[in-house]
Amino acid sequence: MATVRILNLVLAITALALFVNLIGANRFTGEMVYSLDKSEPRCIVSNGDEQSPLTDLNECCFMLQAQLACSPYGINSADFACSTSDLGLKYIANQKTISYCKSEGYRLKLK
Amino acid sequence: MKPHNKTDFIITVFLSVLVAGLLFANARSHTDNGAPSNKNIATNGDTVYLNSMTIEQKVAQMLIVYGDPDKRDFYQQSNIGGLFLTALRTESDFNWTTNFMQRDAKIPFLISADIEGCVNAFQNFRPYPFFSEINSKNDAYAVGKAQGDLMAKLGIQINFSPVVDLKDTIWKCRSFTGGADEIAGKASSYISGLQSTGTIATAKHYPGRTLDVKDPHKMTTISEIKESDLYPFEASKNAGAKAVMVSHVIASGAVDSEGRPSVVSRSAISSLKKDFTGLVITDDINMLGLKNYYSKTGRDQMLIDLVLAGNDVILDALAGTDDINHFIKVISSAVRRGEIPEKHIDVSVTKILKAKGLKVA
Repeated sequence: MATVRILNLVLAITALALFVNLIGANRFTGEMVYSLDKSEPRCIVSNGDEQSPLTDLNECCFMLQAQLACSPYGINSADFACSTSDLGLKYIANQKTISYCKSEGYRLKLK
Repeated sequence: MKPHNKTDFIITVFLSVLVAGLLFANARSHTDNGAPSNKNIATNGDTVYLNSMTIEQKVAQMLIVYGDPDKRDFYQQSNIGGLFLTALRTESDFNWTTNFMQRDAKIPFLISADIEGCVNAFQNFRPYPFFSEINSKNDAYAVGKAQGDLMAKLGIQINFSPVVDLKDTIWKCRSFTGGADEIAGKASSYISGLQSTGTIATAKHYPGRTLDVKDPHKMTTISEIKESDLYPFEASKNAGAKAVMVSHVIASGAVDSEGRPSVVSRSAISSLKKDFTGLVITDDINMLGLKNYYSKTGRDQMLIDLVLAGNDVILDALAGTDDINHFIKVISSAVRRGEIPEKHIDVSVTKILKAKGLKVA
């Protein structure tokens, strides 16, 4: 009996791992977090003192994917700042946006 | 058999079947089953024989996708037309990537990047002035030439730059400053500088008025295009720009996209092609401005419309292997059904191959 139940548990874990591998681990976690997070997605282009919203989320994801890296931004905040250099533009995105981009399949370089 | 033993047995059988199915699906996705082949394409030195290419091989040439080095073999096997590179840490990283991607390719990729001013994939090691900071045509020429020299050195053939929209209310640094005349002059000089190095310039985002804050609920923006918006595009074409990128703006006025995003509007792209024979490139096709327009009719119709509208190159910065296979299948089927004339594909592929410096026979 115990052997069969252990076998079932192993099979269930294997099935889950294969499913996650099939749809992509990033997309899977992105979709999970995105659906659980009830906040509004937010994406800001920061050019020195100027900040503007980038309202097309997929355009935001495109720009985030184009950056060299995304790091946590702000104190006690779940926001990320994505950029290619300290001298250039920053894209500030909240966790909801990051999850959305991951769920869509964009390749973000999160630190 | 006791009842609980029977239940356990049924669960075991169910899970075994599920695991087997998932193993099969994983194996299928990793072997890229259904991908077209790059075999039997006849080449002789730098000449490609178009008649030797299948419809699938020609359609694949029309795609530029995000350049993921892990997928190089798939891109090569599928005969993908081009790759879009994003920021890397160093020059040598770019060199390594372009060399690695091109090695053993039957038809070389058209490798692209965004190097404008403030949107700059080289920013980590080679910052350039923002376009908004360029004060003269001479400076614009010098920046274009410097960027082109570096791109040529790194094996990147096409720059999705310059932005020639008259206004940039979001980034506030991607457009040149001044009136339509001044912007047109700086854009022309930048294009001359860039293309003097052999790097292709892309005037974007036709027909203008693209870099505006959009309605966050609709994403599609209806913009009244004035003659002044088109002036920098005319100047760019006169300066010899070899490519123009078309946006998702729904245009009325001097260009009328007839209620559709410009990128899927035959009317808008016909206006552009009246006096332009270079490459017509879509803006990234995953942006909501376009996707939302097709929320009811679906992605397949969007892909067909993108080709029918007259785009030569489809930029899909999100495409995975399944998306690439799907694009090729959808467009090839539309060609076989007669919905898209094969001649239409041949014209685009000929332009793409020539942009790579190849001869077409």
